[in-house]
Amino acid sequence: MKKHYTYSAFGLIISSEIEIPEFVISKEKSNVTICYGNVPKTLKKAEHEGFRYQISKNEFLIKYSTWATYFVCNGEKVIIQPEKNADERDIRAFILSTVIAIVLHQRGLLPLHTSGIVYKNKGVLFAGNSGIGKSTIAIALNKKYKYKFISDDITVISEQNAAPIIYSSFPSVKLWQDSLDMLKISNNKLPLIRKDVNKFRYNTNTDFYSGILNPYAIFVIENNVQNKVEIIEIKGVEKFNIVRNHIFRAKMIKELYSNEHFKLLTLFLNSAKCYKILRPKDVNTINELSSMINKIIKKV
Amino acid sequence: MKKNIVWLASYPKSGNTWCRVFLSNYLNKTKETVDINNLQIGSIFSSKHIIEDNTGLDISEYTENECDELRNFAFTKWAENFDDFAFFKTHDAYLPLDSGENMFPVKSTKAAIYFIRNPLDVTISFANHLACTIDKSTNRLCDKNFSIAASKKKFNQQVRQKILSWDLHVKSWTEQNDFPVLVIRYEDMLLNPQKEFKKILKFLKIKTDNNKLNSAIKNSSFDKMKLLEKKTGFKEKPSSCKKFFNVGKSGYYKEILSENQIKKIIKEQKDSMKKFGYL
Repeated sequence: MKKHYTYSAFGLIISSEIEIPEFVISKEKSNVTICYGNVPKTLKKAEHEGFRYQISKNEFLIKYSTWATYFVCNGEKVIIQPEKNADERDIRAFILSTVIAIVLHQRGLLPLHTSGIVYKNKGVLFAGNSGIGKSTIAIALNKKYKYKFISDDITVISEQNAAPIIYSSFPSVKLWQDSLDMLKISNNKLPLIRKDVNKFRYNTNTDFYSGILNPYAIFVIENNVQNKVEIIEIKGVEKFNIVRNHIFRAKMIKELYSNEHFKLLTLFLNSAKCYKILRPKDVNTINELSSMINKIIKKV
Repeated sequence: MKKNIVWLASYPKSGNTWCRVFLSNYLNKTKETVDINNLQIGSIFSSKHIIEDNTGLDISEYTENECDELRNFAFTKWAENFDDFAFFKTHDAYLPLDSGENMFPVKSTKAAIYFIRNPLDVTISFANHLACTIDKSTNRLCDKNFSIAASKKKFNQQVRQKILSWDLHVKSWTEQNDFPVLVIRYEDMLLNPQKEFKKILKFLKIKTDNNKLNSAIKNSSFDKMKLLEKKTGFKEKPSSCKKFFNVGKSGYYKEILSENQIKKIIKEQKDSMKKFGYL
């Protein structure tokens, strides 16, 4: 009999044939399974097609040329058909990002492209495009001000009793070497996220908060053409327009889940303050920025 | 599928941005000078943002070669958003993928304009751009395997671009037969911008309006761009370099380069230097 591992992440209980050491082990009954197997060649009713992927509201198929094809259906099953000699880190890296995000979308949840920390049992999120420094700022705030960490790339918004809630993800962060340097973390013994990608996995086990939180604030990070750091509060409908751009894999899913997303995003933003951070690109502003954010968090 | 892509191709620091600003001003429907931080012409072929937007994928976890495989698909799709012309800037050498397939979307390509500048001047401007010594920029300009945006230490807004040596870059674009290429010398643009920009408009079969031409040349002049950069900053400037628009002259290598630097460049880049009138 094949061995299965059971984990909790993003409010889900996942039973997996593949070991995913980044996730937290659980003993609860699973509602999502991940296994190896044969995947369909194409979707019968694809609503959108992209580069080597097809998607409908309940099914998703993506082929990563050199390592595996993934099939996700009904928000509860992931089947992986690996290529010969595929590296397990490569297979796992995409479970932890695109594949799990599609599971969340299919379940009608709202995965945001954010990292997150905890302040007084509420969630503070950092949104932004790839490479903007979401993970770095979350870890900096954790190291400097002891805020617990809840998520790296994806944070899930859901609802409970008509109120918005945030689920923690898992205690692992992906960091480039320059971020490790900024945070004064040695890369010694840190695993690479993929065989040929020079980005590291940093484990936040002891500083990780696992559970459900109410929303507190969301900071959207953008580059500033000017050489200074600015933080501006965003109000009204502009909040919605800005945060909507940071739904995880929004370009891939198009408008398939727009009703669910609209409802959850509105609920979330009714409870969370929203700020835009403008910071100069490629300049180490981490100390200044974390101190400014800390002051704002305490004033909200 | 539209056949509307026009490549604005060059080795770095050879007048590509100047032409983008000119075309943006010339094709602008209003009389106002275009914002250099919001140029609507010449998205770069190495933009991760465009690749991600058009594939739906997050490529920060992709290897360099995997990213290259996505570029053809992404830019073919992106080009569909434009009518007659989808101008894309590129510093990549014109190369196929390792598999032999096209990295450039050839089927959607109408033509290319290749900007060329004396490598003896390029190396000085390139040193400013890369914030390194001229010896280092000269070594890079002569390196047959040189790539830009290839740092593995940090996230880059652009994917790695193989630009090779200056001579191989020139040959890769000017000796290919996949689509027509107009070669424009930076020095000729400086000497007679009216004539060179007219040549570009004619090549692209865009009607020439002399008033618009003069106004676009004025609004894209080096001094004007330098002033705008000082006033508003320029988002395409690498953070390590102080000014994107630096000197913009031709022949100033004579006052700056050492004899050894000149000799090295001439010795190693002579084929294309001869062919395009720099020797």
